[in-house]
Amino acid sequence: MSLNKNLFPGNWDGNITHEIRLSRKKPVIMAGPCMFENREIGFQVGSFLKKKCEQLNLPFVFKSSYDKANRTSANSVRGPGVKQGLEWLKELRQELNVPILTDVHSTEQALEAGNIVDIIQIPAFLCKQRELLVAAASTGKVVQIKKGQWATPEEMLEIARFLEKCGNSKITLVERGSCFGYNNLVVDFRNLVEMHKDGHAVIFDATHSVQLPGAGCGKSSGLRHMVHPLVRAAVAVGVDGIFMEVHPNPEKALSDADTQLHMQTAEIILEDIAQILF
Amino acid sequence: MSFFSSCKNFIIEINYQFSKPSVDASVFQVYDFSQWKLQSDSVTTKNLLEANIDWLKKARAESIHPFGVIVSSPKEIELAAKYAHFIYIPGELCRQSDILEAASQTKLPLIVERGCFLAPIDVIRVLEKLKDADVALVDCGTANGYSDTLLDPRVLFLIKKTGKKFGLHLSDLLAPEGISYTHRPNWLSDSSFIEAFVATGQALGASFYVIKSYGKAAISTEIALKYTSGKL
Repeated sequence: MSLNKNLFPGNWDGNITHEIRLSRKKPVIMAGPCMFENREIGFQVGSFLKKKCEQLNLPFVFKSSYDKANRTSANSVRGPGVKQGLEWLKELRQELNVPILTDVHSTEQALEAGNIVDIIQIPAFLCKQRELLVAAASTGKVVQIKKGQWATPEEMLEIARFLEKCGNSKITLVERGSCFGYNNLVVDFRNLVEMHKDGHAVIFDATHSVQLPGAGCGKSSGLRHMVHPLVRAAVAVGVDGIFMEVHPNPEKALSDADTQLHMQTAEIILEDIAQILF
Repeated sequence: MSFFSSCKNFIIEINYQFSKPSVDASVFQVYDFSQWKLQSDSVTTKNLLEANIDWLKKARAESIHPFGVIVSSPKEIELAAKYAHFIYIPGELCRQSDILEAASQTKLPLIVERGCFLAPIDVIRVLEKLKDADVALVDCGTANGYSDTLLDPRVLFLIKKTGKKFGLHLSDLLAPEGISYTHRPNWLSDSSFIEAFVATGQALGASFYVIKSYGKAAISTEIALKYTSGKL
């Protein structure tokens, strides 16, 4: 690794695509609706964020999930499913010309999504699932691993080393809050520093970090008003990317209704990030 | 009738891949083929459970006592269900709907760990996903900062109210698996705490105890039986 040459471990240049590159000087904005509820919402949010990020000279990656596989309740909506979801993501990638990130929950999904998306995300609860990591690594795509809410930053570095042994050095590690008693999370900003020890790109997940898991009577609740101050803190500490979920009408969202950002709030936060950086 | 009601007073020993079955009828083996090998020097792209299916067949043919297999995906559940007497689901996966549904469909007895991140009140959500499966629950403790868990009596009290048999994971309570937090104090690994864990479990109705035969919190069956003798 050479920080002077802005290279990541394995001599990875941090390129997600030819146009979008990870860098501490200009963190990548990874944002979109939590669930790809329907085509309209995905394109509405994606178009809005792309335009805003272009105006602010911030690199942008569209994020959305096609399957929420670990909902608190068995009765909660899970999303459009892998087939429809990947189809929409593919369309959005082509029409908006933006890189795509989505999360996977099985080896089969990892291989399938690897044909379409630019970043494969391993969910926090699955961050130590060996077979899933092997499959994600084999796609050759950027693998983004969320830190388990109970996991140590040291474990995340070991997981990254494991992925490198699997032949894929294109790794990003994500802080998304640590367990803080029951139904609560706290952001340990030391993790942004610790997880960067080996030089890997570190992303701050601003909207999941403010979750109150399972605190909403059969669903997760959250502290949306905390997103903005935590983003400011993360940018101040230094990160390669900011992850946040945005929805046209969060109160009516089918998942993470208490933590997704209104588009207007996302706009304010993006402007603030640009102001801090530039 | 529940498998767990007919198997009273037992120890579950988790082994990393192969080990000789215990001769003690009160010790059930669980085999973990997907053990996270953080320190591994070699990486195989093969599914470790699939790669060891012949061994599992042999174990089934020769086993005297029921044994279980730790699973990490619906595909592994399908494979394991052909040979194992029961399925063991690790805490990290206790919210994964596909895994719970696939496990439930096997109709085999299931042992499900409560993830250290899961509020005890949400255990009921896990059981809802398992529908009418024959389930026993394992408490591995509640995350307490990094590389430490707390045995919370409120958790055992709430688990007991579900009506399911439950056990305590002595190894995870002593030291959770994975790479330890650099600044973890040494006194937390004092093995004499096992006595306190067992006493708490006994007081609140635990039916069995789980130990690991490998790793930094390995506990031998002899030690486990010594602490739990007459207390189950």
